[in-house]
Amino acid sequence: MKTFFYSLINYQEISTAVTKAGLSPQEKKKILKLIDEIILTRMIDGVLEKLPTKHHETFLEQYLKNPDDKKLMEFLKKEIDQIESHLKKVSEKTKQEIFEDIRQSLN
Amino acid sequence: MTNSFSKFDKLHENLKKRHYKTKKEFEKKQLGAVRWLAKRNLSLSDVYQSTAKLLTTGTLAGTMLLSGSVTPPGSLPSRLAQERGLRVRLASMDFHRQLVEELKSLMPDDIGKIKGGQENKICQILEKFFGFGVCANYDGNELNYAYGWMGYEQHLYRYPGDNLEQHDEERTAGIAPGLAAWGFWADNKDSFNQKKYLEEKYYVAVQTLYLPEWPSDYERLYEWYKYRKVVVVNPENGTAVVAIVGDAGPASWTGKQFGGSPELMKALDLHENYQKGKVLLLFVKDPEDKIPLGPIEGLPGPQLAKA
Repeated sequence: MKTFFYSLINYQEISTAVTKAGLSPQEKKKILKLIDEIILTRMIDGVLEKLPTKHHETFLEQYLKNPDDKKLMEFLKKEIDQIESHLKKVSEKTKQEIFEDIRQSLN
Repeated sequence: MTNSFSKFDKLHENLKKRHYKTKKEFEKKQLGAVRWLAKRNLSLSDVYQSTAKLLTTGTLAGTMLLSGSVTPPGSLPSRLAQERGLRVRLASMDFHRQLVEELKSLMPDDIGKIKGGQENKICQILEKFFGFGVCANYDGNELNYAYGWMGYEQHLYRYPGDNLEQHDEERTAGIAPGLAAWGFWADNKDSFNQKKYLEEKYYVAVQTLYLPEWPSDYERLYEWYKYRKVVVVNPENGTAVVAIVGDAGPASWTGKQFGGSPELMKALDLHENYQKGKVLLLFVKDPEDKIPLGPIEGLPGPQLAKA
């Protein structure tokens, strides 16, 4: 089971960057949880800023019920032109910010 | 180890700041979504939690959990309780929506009494959803309106010495200067109990004085309506509250037919803007006084489970 936007983000890259910080498993878990929530907030925001307001409720409701529902992406593709490309940009920007946070913390 | 700890602290702090900033930006930008969540007693944390339930490779933290390197956060019972809470709230959304759908075609165009056949159908639907009997005419008693405008009322004095500060919610509503139609709920604070507390919290005001039989039969009617259990339904959003008749009014010139306590109006989502809305108000068939007061949160009654 994966979130509907899982394929748009290179999680492995982020995980590797955090691993390089040499944290304990518990510390790493806390860090990854924060990163997960940052990414999720940005992705939901990315969807809502493009999705017509009349569909916000449907999207949020379906997401809360089943975050990995394959139909969610199908629905978004139907309603928003180039949604995957938009979300990839959002995730890339978020990832770079997170990398910057990691870099600053290690210096 | 010391080095690793400080690295963690710094990274954790930086990410917490980014997390906070991201959340605040979202709340500012997506106000509609935040309000939509808030109306369902949900927040962004519930969205996170809903996602975190995918304890597999769907998220970064999930990857670690799957690898067995760490134990799941929190005790199992507490996580289950959190998930159950979320499920209940989500089930509640479905419940309200279904109720709106089922009532839609039956709602009258105008306020007033509801015509026989239509009233029966509405009552049957509500009984199916709530799991208890409701009716507009109970023991031969009927209000002039089963569907009408309900306005936002103030808190009521519950016992001598009561004041606004002793009411625990919706204090912005203020407190009515006079006593309720049936006076204080208790003679003093010591005899004020949980039952009475809930009665004032979830009270309605109905126009008993405009009943055609009031002038000739007011003594009986005064007793019959006193704390009579009713259910109020907002057909626009499917919310419903079990309440009692705790006051008389409002005056006809207000254009409203019912009044609702601050907490009741909030539960019906009628506490903002114009602070009024069209509602169904029906008697609850509860001769043994077993139906609890308060919002009906959408857990299906036994009838719905059978349906």
